[in-house]
Amino acid sequence: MNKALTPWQEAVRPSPFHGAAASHSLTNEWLRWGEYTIADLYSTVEQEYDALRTHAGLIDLSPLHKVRISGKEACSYLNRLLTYKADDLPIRQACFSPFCDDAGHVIGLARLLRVHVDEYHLYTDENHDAWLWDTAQGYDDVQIDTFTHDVGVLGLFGNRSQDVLMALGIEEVEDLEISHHDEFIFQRVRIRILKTVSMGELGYYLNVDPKNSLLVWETLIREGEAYGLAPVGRRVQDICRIEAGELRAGADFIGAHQARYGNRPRTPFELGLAAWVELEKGYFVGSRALSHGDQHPSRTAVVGLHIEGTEPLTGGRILSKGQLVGIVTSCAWSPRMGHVVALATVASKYVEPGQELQIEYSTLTELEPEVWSREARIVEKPFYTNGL
Amino acid sequence: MINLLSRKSKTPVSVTPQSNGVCDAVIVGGGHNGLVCAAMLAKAGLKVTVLEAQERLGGAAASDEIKQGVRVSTCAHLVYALDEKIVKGLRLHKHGLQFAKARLSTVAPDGEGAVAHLHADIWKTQAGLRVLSESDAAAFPKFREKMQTYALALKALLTNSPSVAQQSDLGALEQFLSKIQILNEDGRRELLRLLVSSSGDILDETFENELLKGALAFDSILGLNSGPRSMNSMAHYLYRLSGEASCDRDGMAIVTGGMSSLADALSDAARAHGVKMRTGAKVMRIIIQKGAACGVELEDGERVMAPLVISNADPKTTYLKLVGVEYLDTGFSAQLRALRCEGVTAKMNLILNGLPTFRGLTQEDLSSRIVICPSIDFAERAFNPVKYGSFSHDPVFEIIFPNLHDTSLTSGSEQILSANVQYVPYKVEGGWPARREELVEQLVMALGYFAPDIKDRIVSGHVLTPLEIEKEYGCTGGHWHHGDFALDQIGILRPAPGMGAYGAPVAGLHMCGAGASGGGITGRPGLLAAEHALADLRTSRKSGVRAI
Ligand SMILES: Cc1cc2nc3c(=O)[nH]c(=O)nc-3n(C[C@H](O)[C@H](O)[C@H](O)COP(=O)(O)OP(=O)(O)OC[C@H]3O[C@@H](n4cnc5c(N)ncnc54)[C@H](O)[C@@H]3O)c2cc1C
Repeated sequence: MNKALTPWQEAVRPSPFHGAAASHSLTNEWLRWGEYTIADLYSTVEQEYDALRTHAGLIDLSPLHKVRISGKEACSYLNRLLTYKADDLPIRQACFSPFCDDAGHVIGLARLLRVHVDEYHLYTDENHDAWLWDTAQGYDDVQIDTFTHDVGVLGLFGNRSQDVLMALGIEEVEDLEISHHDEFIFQRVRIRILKTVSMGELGYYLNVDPKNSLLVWETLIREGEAYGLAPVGRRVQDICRIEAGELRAGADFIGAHQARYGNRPRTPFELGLAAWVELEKGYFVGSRALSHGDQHPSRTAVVGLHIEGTEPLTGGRILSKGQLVGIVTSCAWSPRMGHVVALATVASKYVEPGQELQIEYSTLTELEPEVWSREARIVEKPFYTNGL
Repeated sequence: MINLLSRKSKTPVSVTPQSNGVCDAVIVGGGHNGLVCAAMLAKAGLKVTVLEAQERLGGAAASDEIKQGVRVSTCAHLVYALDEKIVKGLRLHKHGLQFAKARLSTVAPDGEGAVAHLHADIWKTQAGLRVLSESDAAAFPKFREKMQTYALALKALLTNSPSVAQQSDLGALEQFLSKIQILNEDGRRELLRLLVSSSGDILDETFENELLKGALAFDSILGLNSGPRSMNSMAHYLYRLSGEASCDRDGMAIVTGGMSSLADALSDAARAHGVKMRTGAKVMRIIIQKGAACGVELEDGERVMAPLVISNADPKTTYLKLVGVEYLDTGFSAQLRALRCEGVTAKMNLILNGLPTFRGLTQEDLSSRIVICPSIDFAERAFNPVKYGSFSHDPVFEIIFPNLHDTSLTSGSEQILSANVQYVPYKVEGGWPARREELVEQLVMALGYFAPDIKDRIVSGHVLTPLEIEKEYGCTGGHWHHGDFALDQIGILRPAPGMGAYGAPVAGLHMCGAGASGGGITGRPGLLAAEHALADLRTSRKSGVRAI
């Protein structure tokens, strides 16, 4: 029998934590991330926000794309792939880095963990395998294997996240430093834990074998209760990462491989990621283009905006004296700040904090388009860091 | 300190000669283009070292004794596009370059008694063509003239002159389009049409005689991995004409003493300008520091440092092997890997105990270039098998008897038949060592149709398949052009889109071989690379920084 295929047919798979997460969902609001569905909201924004910002939030990050890069040349391969210095990353440490195409445009953002001398794990939000493979051509000893589906990842973030892990009996995490990772045994289950900062909170990535996923989830929820732990969905994560000034691919910038229009891709400099571009380390993909800074000056910049009113205005047009100068890319009401915060792309001469701008956006109100205008001001980002 | 003042710019290029064996430019490969480039740079005052892997200089411009007392050109055998600027600029005639015969005619027999004659002189050709077709004879001069006009208009685009290559490829395209403004509107349309046409179609619409069309089509495919019905054949025809236009005086010529004499003249000229040349010096690595080339490393680990490295090796060798992907952008290296450079032209030298008889040709005709390509279909059929990993049973040939013009080549009464043969694939089903004998037999048999007594006259022979050319001359794929001459691999797209041939992407590294702007014994890639390197030097000296 011929099964009719629709052009949008793709794979869907449950995260290893799906069953457990579903039992916590009061809203049944899910969304797609790669091949997975994950919770957008479990309960209410207030409850989840409060858990993450004052106690601990449990986040299913299993859809993260995970690639193991190994072999004698893995180190030199990564040093060529990434804009940040990868070759002096010690074992059991992690770093963040953009990676670019030949033209120096950002393809994606990665977290790199060095696991052994010749083994690394690379986490990205999206699948960039084709590029990773292309870049590996010509090396004799680099193996690339994707293990996205073989490992579930939980994020545990917030003030009390360390207490929760200690309560589970993983006391050694007390000595784990930021950007370090290690393997720990918990109820005879091996989990790799990375201590890191995300969304303005200290916390951990826990790598869990899918066959132990329920055990780990349930134990965390049970032991975490005393510390105010609650599962947190994508919506609240988004608010928190905007508050922390963290960019999201597809929202705040278009990856070089997704962009179809010539002026859409961005250099790391335009995204404010200069600290992760090591032009001095020697050659890496895109370095030639990026070091020609005088010939390709940054045309845009990513800034923080404080916007009047209460509505999030994602997609709003930013005007200065009536001229279009940028676009709001991510926007949310910030409970912590008590006003609307936004990340925006603006023409590079509008980066100075304090600049007054107008946001214009339109909605369809009772089938009539309605144009709104709000005052906004450029402010320093991040908006909020929880003292980190 | 030497001050170089370019005629055009008033900015002096100051080159401080370096001590301790460090030179200003090191050239990887001493093929004829490497030698041209070296000599031109040295002439401009640079200290230049050429490092050649083989034991002799000249690359595919080579000759050798394949039998005692018999000397043949082992690869290229005819010069038809050696740039006048080089011959004059390096005073090659003073350095020993001689043509045993210039302005060679072409004869194309059909094997059944008819012959098309193409002479360097258009009007003589026209007179001869009347025997084949009155209307073709009438159309010929106009066709030639028109093609020459278009070839010249195209030259800038097809050969990546420095002014073009310095810009981005798209900028170069704009410049090209503005250049062809000299043609009227219809002319520009026609040029663009020709560029994407097959020579088969253009010849079909112009002429009626199959033999004439075959003879003309031959030049559109020689050295190419395509047939006369392939889209890029017309562009290649124009490329070839644009080359011929640069050596109008001599036309097609045979070098006295064989092709290596050209290499000798070039190396002599280079030496006179102070170029150091080393043979048996295989470069294993181009040294990159801070993203820029700064020297090379030889097999034994010896390093030769220079702020300018110019490679005569083919693009794949240069970038993927000598530079290495760890210094290349991912997109660029993917493009280079995709560069098609498998040759289909084989070389055959036969030593004969006397001159053979070609059906329809007189004894006198044998001193011309003999083209075996009786029709467009014949050539297209010959092309078919290589698409599927096999060789032609009825190939097309370009044959000369060099010893008829140059008695120094043989000591006895032997005759030399030197032939370029198509189509012989780089990779053959069953593998080359296994099928080589079959190929040789087939080539002799195919030739036997046109020259029935050839088999009985063979004393010995020497055949090189593209695979053997690759080994012998160190060019990936053994391709005539170091990379197929196809619409997506020529002009500003050569050797890779966006690369602009001579400069990018590795600072301090230039290319000077056929892969940069097209093959043939033209010397033009070498000349343009030298011009480009000097222009670059001038700008970087001016701005005081070296671009990465
Ligand atoms: C079968 C055949 C017949 C041909 N016939 C003709 C003809 O009749 N007329 C014509 O005009 N053209 C002809 N051509 C084309 C012509 O020979 C070439 O286009 C031309 O010789 C290319 O010159 P080049 O200097 O760019 O490269 P090459 O002649 O290939 O020289 C490159 C040199 O670089 C050296 N090299 C490579 N790698 C290294 C390394 N790592 N270290 C040191 N040295 C290195 C090689 O040894 C070689 O000497 C023919 C080609 C073929 C294949």
